[in-house]
Amino acid sequence: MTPLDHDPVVHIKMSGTRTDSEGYLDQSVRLNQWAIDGLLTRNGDQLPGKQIPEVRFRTGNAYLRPSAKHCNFAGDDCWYVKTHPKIDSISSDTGYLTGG
Amino acid sequence: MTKSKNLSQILHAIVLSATLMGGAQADVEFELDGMRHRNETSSGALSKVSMAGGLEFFIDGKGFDDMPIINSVQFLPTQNAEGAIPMAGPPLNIDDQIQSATVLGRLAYTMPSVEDATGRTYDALSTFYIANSDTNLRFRVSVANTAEATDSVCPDDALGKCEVAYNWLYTPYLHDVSPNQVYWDQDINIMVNSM
Repeated sequence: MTPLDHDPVVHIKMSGTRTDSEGYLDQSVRLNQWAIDGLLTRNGDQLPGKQIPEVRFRTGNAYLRPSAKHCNFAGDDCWYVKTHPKIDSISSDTGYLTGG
Repeated sequence: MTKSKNLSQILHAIVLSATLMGGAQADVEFELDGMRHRNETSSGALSKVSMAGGLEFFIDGKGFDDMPIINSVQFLPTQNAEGAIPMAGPPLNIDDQIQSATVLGRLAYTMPSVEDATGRTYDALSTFYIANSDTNLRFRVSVANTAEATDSVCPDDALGKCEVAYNWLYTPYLHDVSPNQVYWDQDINIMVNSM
């Protein structure tokens, strides 16, 4: 059993990079036993691409069930989590056909 | 005459004590004291671990090479173990190497997944449980100093301190990550069954 002053998980990582769980996970969060429960977290600044999630508990890592794997319709591209680049703002919303 | 007899007795005593000391050292030179959790305040021995590996622990003992990466953690199956030989686990990762203090008799290691430890898939191992009516997959851990060709093992009267068992009941499941296509700073929900 996880001690009362411990977080419910040791860490959550995406391909080795920790996610940001501030404000989401602390020692007050507890998971239900023998039930599927949610761990809310925030994706970090990952390189674009496929990531392998790693959730570590006191006894070790969570086993990645086949249900966690997703594929495209053709079945030739599969991933657990895919991260994409993010555009926060565009400096100009007008321009010329020649650029600028 | 008496003097030489006394001298001979003293020499004999020195040789005898040196032999005894040498013998005693030989007994404990490659001995493990046991395994313990790395991030816990309790110093209890390890017992059950996740099938997916990842548990970080210390191995305390003697006979380690000064360079942590030179040491190889071995897993000996202890069920149906007739003729079994130890299987070398994956090398120490960078965190293990940093947290090891082999000169002080402390080796850090991260438990490999059962697939990495045995070279068999989860599916292939499923028949094991049926054959053995046991939910545990038990191993005895030892440390091979590959430079010196020596093995550090737990003493016969404390073998339990070096035993570890993979167990599905101690394996949390990760069912899904939602959404599974994300961008920076996006909230994600990881669905797990912590068991």
